[in-house]
Amino acid sequence: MCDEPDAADLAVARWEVATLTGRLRCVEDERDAAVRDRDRNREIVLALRRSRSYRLGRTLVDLARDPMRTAPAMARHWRRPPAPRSRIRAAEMPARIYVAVGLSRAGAHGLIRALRQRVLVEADHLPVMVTDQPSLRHLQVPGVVLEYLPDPATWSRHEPGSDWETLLAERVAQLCRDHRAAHAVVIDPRDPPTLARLLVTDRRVGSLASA
Amino acid sequence: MYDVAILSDLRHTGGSAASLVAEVEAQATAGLTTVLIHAPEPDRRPARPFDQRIVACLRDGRAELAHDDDTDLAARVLLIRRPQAVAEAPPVRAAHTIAVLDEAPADFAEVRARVERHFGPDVVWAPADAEVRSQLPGAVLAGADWPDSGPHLDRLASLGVLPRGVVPPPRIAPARPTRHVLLVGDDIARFRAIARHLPGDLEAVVVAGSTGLPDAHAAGLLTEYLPAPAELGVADDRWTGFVRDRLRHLIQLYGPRAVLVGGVPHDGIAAAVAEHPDPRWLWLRPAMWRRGTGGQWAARGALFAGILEPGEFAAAGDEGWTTAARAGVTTVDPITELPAPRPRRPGPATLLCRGVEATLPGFTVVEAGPEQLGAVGLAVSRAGYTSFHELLGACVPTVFVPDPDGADDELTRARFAAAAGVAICATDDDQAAAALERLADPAAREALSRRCAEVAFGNGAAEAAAWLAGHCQLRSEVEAGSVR
Repeated sequence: MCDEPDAADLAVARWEVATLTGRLRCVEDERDAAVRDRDRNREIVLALRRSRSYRLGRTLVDLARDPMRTAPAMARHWRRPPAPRSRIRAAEMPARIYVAVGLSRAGAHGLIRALRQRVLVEADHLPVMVTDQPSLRHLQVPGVVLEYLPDPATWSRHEPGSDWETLLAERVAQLCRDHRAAHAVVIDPRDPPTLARLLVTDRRVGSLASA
Repeated sequence: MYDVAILSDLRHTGGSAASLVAEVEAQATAGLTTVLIHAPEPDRRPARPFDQRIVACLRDGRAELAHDDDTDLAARVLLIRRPQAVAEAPPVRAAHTIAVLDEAPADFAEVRARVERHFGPDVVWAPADAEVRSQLPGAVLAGADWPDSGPHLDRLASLGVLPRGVVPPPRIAPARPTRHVLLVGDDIARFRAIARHLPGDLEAVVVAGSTGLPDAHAAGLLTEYLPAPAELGVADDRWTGFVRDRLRHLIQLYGPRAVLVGGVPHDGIAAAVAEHPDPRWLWLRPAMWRRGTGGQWAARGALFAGILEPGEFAAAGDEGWTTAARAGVTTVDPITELPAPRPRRPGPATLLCRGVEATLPGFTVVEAGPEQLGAVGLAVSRAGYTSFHELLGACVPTVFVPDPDGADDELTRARFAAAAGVAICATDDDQAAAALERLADPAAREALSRRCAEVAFGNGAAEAAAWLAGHCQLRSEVEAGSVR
């Protein structure tokens, strides 16, 4: 038999929805940007194909590919595979957003340490921890990026007409863009994950809140 | 509480339904709220739909439909149409209950008893016309037939339910939206001082690095974080884009009237200005640069709609590049968080150390913020902007030990103060120790305090806040199209 969700459960659930909303917005932006990029490239290719120089080059290539009319040496030259690109862009480490709001200072510190341990075990992502602790200097460790978000109480005091969850969704979307993050998860402040749980759940897309 | 509740079998399609719909429409037009309570007659086919005119009222929002299990229905007036059909009905609390008899019931006494059992003995019985009245001889009825008692809204008004179109509700002025101003940088002491004097409808949002954010947050300001490149682990060129994107996000989030940049307008700031010219970009530009440094920022002044320079007590000794770049610059008195001037009441021998470690026999080392400086007996401090002006402004006898690696020209500040006779300048530890020993003498301390009072300067925080608010106002006027 399931217990009735309490206020804290509902709050974490709202944060999860806001976080997923933010991630979704980022994905939509990426999709729109990719579509714009594709359309632009398509126009460039069409313009190139219409150009006089392209058609002339194309004719020359066709001629070169005809063994009856082209010298074998020239044909071999043109048939050589293209040289590998000299500049291969290094793959960037994907980032993952951890929304860790409502933790005590000790809890935030413990989570930072666990995240640091996690990337030491396997450096497969860059953790970006969103905290509402203003004393960021005390939380900084190598390998974990910190981001700050005003806590719900502060936000409602300064911006009583605006939902904190709306702020969270917008911020997560922005952080996904800023850090090129592929995942965003919410940490349950009542039960922040240990290294063991991070290792168990790290490949899941979703919340660690109930893991 | 609804204005009017109408209870009837809503499937009925006769003349009573037409009257009911007319009443609902009149009530909706008058701004009155209506709830319809369906009380099905036992002998009617259960699956029969509501009258289409009533469905239209519900669909268009002119009335609401009560739930079957509503137990807390309340209305100012309850109208019961076709009361003879009412067998079961949810409880309704109403100040006035009127049963309209569209036709004479076969057993009026039984209907009356049943209805009054549900709704109390104060039900008023109103016949729909003279024919119905004539068919109920001896019954206690309302003095006038229901249609003859006047237009429907007048009938309701006589029961105290006034049309909202006739008596307009009190107009509540919408809350004035809060305007925002972004204060970007780590010049938190200046930001705090200015924010304290901003008008009530202008809220400061401090966008700071990890150094300044805790102080701004502790001061009760809304804060946002701008990580440094080292904190992100990125090169400067990528950080430029990061700053631009982050400021874009914050500008979209807060819609600030102005953005006040404290410190230097680096490439990220310049990129944000180019991308978002809408808010008024302002520069809180420090003076007192060391000679030969910082000149590369001079050209960036053109990015800003205004430049505010916090005053310097040692301005006459300033040899930095800002002394020659005066276009668009507004200067105010030194901006500090000092309270309004009040007499010094130094406590028993206390020594305040800011950025310098020192001891003096017979003196107790203390910490003090701007509010407590009046009780400090003696100070030894670096000559950074904040400490320098706070200590002089509070007339604290001070030994300034300038930091040669300081961001600004601390040496000139300290030497100028010494030349003006308001403090002592010491450039190494031995000089500082000797100066402190001299100031162990109360007469020497009193002389410095007296001299500070003679050359006292004001606090430019309020003036700076007014300057900032003025730019925000100007932005509003530009938006309104009154300024071109």
